[in-house]
Amino acid sequence: MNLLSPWALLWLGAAGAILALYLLKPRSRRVEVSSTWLWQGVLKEESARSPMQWLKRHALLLLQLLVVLLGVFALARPAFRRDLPVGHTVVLAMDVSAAMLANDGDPAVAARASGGPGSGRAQGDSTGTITRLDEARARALQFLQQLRPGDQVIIMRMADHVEVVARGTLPGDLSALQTALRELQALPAELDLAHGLELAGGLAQSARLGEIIVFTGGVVDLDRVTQRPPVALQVARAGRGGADNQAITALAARRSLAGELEVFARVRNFGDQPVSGALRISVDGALYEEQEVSLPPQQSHELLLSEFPAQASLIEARFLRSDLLAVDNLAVAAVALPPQRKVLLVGARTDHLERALRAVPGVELSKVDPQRYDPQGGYDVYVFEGWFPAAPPSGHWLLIDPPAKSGALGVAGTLGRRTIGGQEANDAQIVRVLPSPLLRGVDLTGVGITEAKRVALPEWGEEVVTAREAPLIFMGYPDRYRAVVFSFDLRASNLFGRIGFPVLVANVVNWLTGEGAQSNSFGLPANDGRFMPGDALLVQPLPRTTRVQIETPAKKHYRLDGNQPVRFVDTLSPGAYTVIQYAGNQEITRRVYVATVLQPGREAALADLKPREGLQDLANVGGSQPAVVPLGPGRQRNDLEWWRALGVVALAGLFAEWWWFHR
Amino acid sequence: MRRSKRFPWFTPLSRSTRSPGLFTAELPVEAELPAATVAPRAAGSAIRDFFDERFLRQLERVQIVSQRMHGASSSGGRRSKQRGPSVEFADYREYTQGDDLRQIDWNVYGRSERLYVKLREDEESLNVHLLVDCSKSMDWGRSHKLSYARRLAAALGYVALTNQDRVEVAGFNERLTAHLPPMRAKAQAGRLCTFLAALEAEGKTDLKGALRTYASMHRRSGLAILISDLLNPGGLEGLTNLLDRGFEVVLIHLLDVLETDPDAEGEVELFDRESAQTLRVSIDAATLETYRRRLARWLEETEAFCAKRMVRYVTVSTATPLEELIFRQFRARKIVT
Repeated sequence: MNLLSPWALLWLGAAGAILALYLLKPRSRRVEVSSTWLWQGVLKEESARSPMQWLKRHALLLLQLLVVLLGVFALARPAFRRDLPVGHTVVLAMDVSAAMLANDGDPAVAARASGGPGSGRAQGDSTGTITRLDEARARALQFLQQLRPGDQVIIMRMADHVEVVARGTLPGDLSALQTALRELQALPAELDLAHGLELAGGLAQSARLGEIIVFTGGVVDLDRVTQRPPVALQVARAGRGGADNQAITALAARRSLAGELEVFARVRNFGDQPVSGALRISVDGALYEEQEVSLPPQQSHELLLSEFPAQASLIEARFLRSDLLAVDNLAVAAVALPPQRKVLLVGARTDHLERALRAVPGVELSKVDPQRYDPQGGYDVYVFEGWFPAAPPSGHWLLIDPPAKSGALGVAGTLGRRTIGGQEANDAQIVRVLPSPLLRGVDLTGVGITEAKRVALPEWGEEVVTAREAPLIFMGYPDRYRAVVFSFDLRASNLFGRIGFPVLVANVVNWLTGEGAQSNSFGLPANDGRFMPGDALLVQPLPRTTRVQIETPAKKHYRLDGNQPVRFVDTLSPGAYTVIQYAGNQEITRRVYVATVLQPGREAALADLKPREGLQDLANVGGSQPAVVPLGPGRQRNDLEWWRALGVVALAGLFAEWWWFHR
Repeated sequence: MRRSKRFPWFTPLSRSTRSPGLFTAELPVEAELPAATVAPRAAGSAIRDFFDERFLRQLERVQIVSQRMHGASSSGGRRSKQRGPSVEFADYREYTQGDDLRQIDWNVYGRSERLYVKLREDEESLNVHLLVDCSKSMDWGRSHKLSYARRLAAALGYVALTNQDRVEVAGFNERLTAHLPPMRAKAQAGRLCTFLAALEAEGKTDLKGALRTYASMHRRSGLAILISDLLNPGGLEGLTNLLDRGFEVVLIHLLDVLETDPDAEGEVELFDRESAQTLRVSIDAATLETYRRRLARWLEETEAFCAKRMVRYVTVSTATPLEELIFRQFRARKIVT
C-alpha cells in the first residue's frame, strides 16, 4: 500500500489541536456540596474499574481522534497497487479528404469487412470500384470487431476540418459506431493531419489507455505535422499506393484590355507513367474545344484560348481520361461580369469625382443638385459632396466634406494649417493609415491635405485614414446600409492628381455595394470569386434588391426574399455557384462564384496520390505494415484507492461521536 | 410499673395529661429560623417562631420513648398517669431550673444551704440529651439541614419538656460549641428554642471527640438523641463513648435531597462546604449511579453499626415534613409514642 498524497498527513496536526482543546477545555462548573467524602469514594470506585472506565470517560475524545485519523488517512489517498482490467480508448481518425476518393482501394479488404465481395460502397465512381475511403472504412469496421468489451471508441473525420462524428463504448454502441463509419463521406478538401492529430491526442490523452489509429490514403503534407500526439499512434494506410492521376491545376478566364475573353488552362500528370487524353473546354455548357494532350510523368500542359463568345460567363475544362481520382479532372472558371450598380452623385463640386465614379465598372451614374435630391430615388449608392440630407438615404452612401450642421455626424471645427507656439503646423496631415478594403491597391504616400473637418468618430465608424486628432476617412454601418466618410474637401487635397484616386473611388463603391466582400469562413477575401468547397459564401445584396437566388453546381436553386446579407453554406460540391439579384422580377445583377478543390499553389497536396514517404514513421507502435496492429491486453498496473471506505468509516465515527454526546 | 412482655427493659412512658391542642400542625419545611445569635425572647414567642399552636398541641400528645430504665436514682421526673402521684420518698437530687418549687426540701436547704428536691417512688426520670451537629456541612442543602435539625430538636425537646423530662441540649462540631444545661417543664420551651435558634454552623465535624467530651461531662446516663448528617468518616465510633456511659442513643441521620439525588452533571468542581476542599469530577449517569450505590452502602453500614450496638437509627430526609416525621415515622420506629 502506498499513499498518493502523503503531504495530506500534515493534517494530523489537527489531532494535536483536538488534544489541546481537550486539555484546555472550559473550566468546570463549581458545585457546592456538604462534603466531598462520598464523592472521593465514588472516584476511587470508578478508577478501580479502569481502564474501561477511562475509556468510557474519554470516549468523545477518542472518537474525535479516530475521526481525524481516518479523515487524514483518507486525504492521503491510500492505495493498493494492482493490475486492473481497463478499457482502451481508441480514436479512429478517418481521413476523408478528397484524395480518399482515389479508386485504388483493396476490394478484398472491403469484401472481408462487409462479408462479401463488392458490397463496399464505392464513392469515387459509379463503376463499383473501391475507393481508398471504402478500404479505410472496411479496415476500421474490422478493427471494431477486434476490440474488447469496455473499450471506448471515438470516430473522428479529418479533412481540412476535424470533427468527432461518433463515440461510444463496446459492445453497446457497436451498431452506432458502425453506422457512423458507413456514413463517412469524402470531402473536397485536402487533409490537415496536424490538426487532426492534435485533436485526437487531446481526446486519447484524457483516457487511461488511449490510442490513435489513423486511417489514411497517405496523401498528407507531413511537413505540417510538427508534433506527435503523446499517446500510442498507429497508421493504417488504405489504397494500393497508385499514383496514376491527372488534374487540371489551373483554369482562369479574363478579359483583355480590348474586352476579349481569354482562358488559360493547365493540366498536369502526377503519375509515374506518360499518359494522353482529351482536354475538353466548354463555354456555358456548350463544347468549345477539345484537343488531345500527351503528358509525360510529372509534367504539365498549358493552353491559352481566346475567341470566346462575348457573353460567355462560365468556362469548364475537363480532362477526359479515367485515372484514380476523378474529382480533379474538372475545373470551372467564371467570367467576371461587372455588377450593375446605380449611383447618385449629389452636389458635385468638381468633375474629378464624377469621372472617377463613371470609371468604376458597372456603375450607372446620375447627378443631381441638393435641391432636387429625392430620398426615394432607388439608388444603390448615394455620393454627397459638401451636403447631406436631414435623413440618411435608403441606400449605401459616401459623404465627402461633411457640412458643419450634418445631422449624421458631429463636426466641431476644422483641421488645417495653423501656428502653434510660433511654429507653423498642419494638423490635417495624414498620420496613420489602417488596413482596409478601401485602400486595396491605393498608395497614399505623398498625399497632402490642407484642411479637413474635425469630425468626431461615431460609434459605428471604423478608422481608415486619420490625422493627429480626428479621422480623415472612416467607414462603417450606421444602420442597415454601409457608409464611408471623407472628412475633407477633395479640392483641399492632392488626391485628384494621384493615380490611386480612381482605384480608391472604385474600392469605395465596391465595398459599399458588397463587391469583393465574398469571403471564406476565415474572413479572407475570395480570389476572383473562387472559394473552397464547404466554405460559406457571403452575399451582400444591393439596396434595391428584393430577392436573391442562388444556383448550385447540382442545379439546386435557393430563393431568399429581401435584401438581407446572405451566408450560404451548402457549398460542399465543387463547381459554379450563381448568385442572381432581382429587383421585383427584373434581374439586376448576376455573379458566378466557383468552389474549387485545388487551391492555387497546393494542387499537389491533393492530386499527387502517392503515399508520402515517412508516413509510417509517425506511428510509434506497430510495424511498418499498413495493417492494424491488435491492441494489447487491456490491463494496467494501477492504484486501487480505498479512501472512500475510510471516509465512510470516518462518517460513522462522526455519527457515533454525535450520538455519544447527545445520549 | 408496667413493663413490656416482649421487651422486659421497656417501660412505656406516661402520656401527657394535657388536653389535645387546638391549633394547626401545618409546618413549613423551609421556615426561616432566627439566627442563633439573636437575643433570647419570651418563651411563648420563641417557640412560636418554630411551630404554630396546632402543631404544639399535637406535640403535647406524644412522648419520647425510652427503651430501658435509666435507674431510679436518675434525675428528672415523668409522671405515670396510670399510677397517680405517690408520696413515698425515694431520693434527693439537686434542684434544676424548672423543678417544682413545692418539691424542694427546705429542711435540707436549711442544713446544707443547697437546694434539693425530693424524689418520690412513683416518679420516672428521663434525661433527654439533644445533640445537634453544628458543623459546616449542616449549613447546606435544599432544605438547609441545620434549620431542619433545629426544628426537629425543638420539637423533640418540647415533647420531652411537656412530659416533664429533663432536657439538655448541646451543639457540636469538632467539639462542643454550645450547651444548654438540663431543664425541665414546658415553661422552658422558649429557652430551648432560643438556644437552638442561636446555633450556628461552623467548623468540621468530629463526632468522636465531641461525643467523648459530652459523655465525660455526664455521670448519669439518659436518652441521647443525636441529630447529624454523619459526614465524618469514622465518627460513628464516637457513639461508643455514649454507650459506654450507659446512654440510650437515638441516631437521627439527616440527609438532604441533594445528597440522596445529586443534580450535578458534566464537568464540575465539587466544593466541600466543610473542609473547603475541591474535587474535580466528571459526572454522568454512570457516576451518579455509583454515587447512589455508595450512599446506600454507607447507610446500610451505618444501620448495621447501630443495630449491633442497640442504637436506634433513623435516616431522615430534610424534605420530610416534621409532622410526618414525628407523628408517623417516629411513631412507627417507636421513638415517640
